[in-house]
Amino acid sequence: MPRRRPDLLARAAQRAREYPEFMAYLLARYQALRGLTDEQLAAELGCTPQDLTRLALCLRPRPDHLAEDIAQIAGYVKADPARLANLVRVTEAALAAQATSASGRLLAARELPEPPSEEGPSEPPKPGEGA
Amino acid sequence: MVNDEEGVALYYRLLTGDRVASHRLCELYLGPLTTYLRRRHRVDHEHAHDAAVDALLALIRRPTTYQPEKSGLFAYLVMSAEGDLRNRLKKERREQARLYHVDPAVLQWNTFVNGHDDLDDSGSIPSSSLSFLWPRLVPLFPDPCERAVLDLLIQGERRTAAYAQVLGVAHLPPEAQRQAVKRAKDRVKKRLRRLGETLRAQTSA
Repeated sequence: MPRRRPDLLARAAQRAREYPEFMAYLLARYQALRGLTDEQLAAELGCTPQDLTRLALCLRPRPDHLAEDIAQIAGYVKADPARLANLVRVTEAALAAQATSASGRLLAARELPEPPSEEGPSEPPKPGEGA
Repeated sequence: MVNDEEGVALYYRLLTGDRVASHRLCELYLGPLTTYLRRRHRVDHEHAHDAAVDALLALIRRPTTYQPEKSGLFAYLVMSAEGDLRNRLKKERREQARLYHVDPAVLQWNTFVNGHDDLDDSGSIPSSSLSFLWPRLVPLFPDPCERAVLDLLIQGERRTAAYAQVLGVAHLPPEAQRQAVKRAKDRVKKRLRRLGETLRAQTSA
């Protein structure tokens, strides 16, 4: 049986926050959204702060296997499945809204007409005129 | 070393969409991989751990990059982590080399400026410093007269008449020439000291 290295795992979980494939990514965004500490988040999920590291290194539930994946993850980290499902739903919705808003702004910016030039249309240089 | 049997089983669970196998893989391999890298490459714990984490997270994110028929999982993770570690160490060595290159020049410069406060008696700036410092000196002295004074200082010129000539005060009485030359040299020296301080700060940052 390998030795447990909680410090190593905690740091790996920290790094996993950068990658959308991991639960760490969702947890970090949920914490930011709600302004929760690790202890508060653990209490909300009905698990211990140590279990958050396990949870963070699990993979994010797949949209087409949501219930099944949440049940597996919740069972593994001893969290309340309903509360975990709620966290996933809220965070996914916030991320989707964020993405929609960002792409909407981008689209709106693209559709804006070109501002008219203050100098007016430039005339082509006459033959013989230098630049 | 790790017994790969459990690792490979976890790997296949990962491939089939298991959501918790990723944590078990980290739990199984992170410690042994970090220890192996630290001992094999004689690097500190931070380097070894960062490389081990990167290798594991990369495998979890793109599991198909590992081909079980070609190697064991631990061997694959070692290979992946070693590539990452080599890149990190190479980058650090490049940064160290750059600092080492700058440092002697800055030291010589500080010796020159601070160790020989009266530049009249200082001789010339070491040529090894000058090649490094000259691009930084030029913008500090946009005024042609001051640049000419700097040139003379660098050459080790000590005659007041030579400075008076470039400053355009050679027609003044000797005492007035001496005062004008002293003022010009003081201005140049002040800027040189500031540059020395800046370079020192940059090197120690």
